[in-house]
Amino acid sequence: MLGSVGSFIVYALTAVFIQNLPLAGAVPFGMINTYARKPKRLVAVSVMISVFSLLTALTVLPLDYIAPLWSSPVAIRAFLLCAAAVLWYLAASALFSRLHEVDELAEQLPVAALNGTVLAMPLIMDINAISDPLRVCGLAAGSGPGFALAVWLLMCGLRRADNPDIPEALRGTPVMLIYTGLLALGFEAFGHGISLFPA
Amino acid sequence: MKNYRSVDMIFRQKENDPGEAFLNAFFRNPMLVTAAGANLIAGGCITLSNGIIMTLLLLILLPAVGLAASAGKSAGAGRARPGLYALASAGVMLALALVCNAVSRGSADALGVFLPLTALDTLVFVRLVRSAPEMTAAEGLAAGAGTACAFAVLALPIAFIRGLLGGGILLGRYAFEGINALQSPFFGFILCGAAIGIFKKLAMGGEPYREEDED
Repeated sequence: MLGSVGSFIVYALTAVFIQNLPLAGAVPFGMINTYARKPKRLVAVSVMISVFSLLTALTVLPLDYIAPLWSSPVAIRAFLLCAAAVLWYLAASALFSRLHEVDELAEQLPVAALNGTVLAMPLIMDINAISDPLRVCGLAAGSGPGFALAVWLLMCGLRRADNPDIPEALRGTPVMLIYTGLLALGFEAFGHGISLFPA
Repeated sequence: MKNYRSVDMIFRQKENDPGEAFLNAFFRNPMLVTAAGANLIAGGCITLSNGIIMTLLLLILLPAVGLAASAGKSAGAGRARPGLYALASAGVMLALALVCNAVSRGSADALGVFLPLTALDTLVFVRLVRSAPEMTAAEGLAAGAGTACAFAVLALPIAFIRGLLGGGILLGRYAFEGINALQSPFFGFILCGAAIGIFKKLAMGGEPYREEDED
């Protein structure tokens, strides 16, 4: 039992610090870059991303065993995953609409539920033949904090993105992308080995 | 604190006609301002063929989403709207990917995890947010096409460079042994930043996107 908890924590930390999808995998980069400019309720969104990643991954995990569709082209798997994510989003949306005190959180629900991480995490697990439920849960749980870490790192860079020492044409978005590239290089040095493309 | 123009601010602007919507989307689109869609280039466009497939998918998907968003505004579906649109854009992506795979076997699958991400990318998603403007169908189509064209201008040269340097691929053939690491996202991000800087310099005289103080 203790060993399982330990493994879960190791996999979650791997998803945050070693195989950080937004930076090393460029997965939901548009979302983190937009969010770094208006980091409203970052902690809550990160928790929701972990929950939705976990739910989506666990929804499609049984397909590995029971449905041959899962071994079909990426496009079909992707659509099934998207359908699963949308179903969980609709369910959460219906739940939140009953709880009026969480209206501000409900505003962030589309960002959290229909996020690239939620969709990509199960696909990456499939491409890399990761089917151990403990590992799936650990990586999914770590995806939210990984998102938060990426947003925080981009926020740090954003404060300096209009530095007058930077050539004018590169100020703002271009320099942020170059900064992100350097961050991605650092993460890739740790997390080399995870594949984003089918063999 | 001064912020750069946000995606929401761009799409809150009311266009006057389809031509203006196209030009506005081309020169001041969310990809150039907040790098929405940069992940598709940095991650997915590792060869020229990947870049072409991704561009084709976006050239069809973005105007379709613009059209759907213009129709959906009046229909109204409350909080379910983003979910329904995400499902619809994923359905369009599935159909397009199957067509691409039928024409050239495995061409869409070669995009890996970036194929499904296209359906939920910020480029697509920003058109569905509450603050998106009331656009007519023609304006929605034109704005989608403008965004996709700006994507193509950046994606295709970057995909070519990465295919050449990273994969050693020239005109569809292996010409030499490339440096595989250059097909990793980090090099894509750096090239994307440089390309956006050059695009802005050429297209807008290097004028930075500055925004008044925002809440």
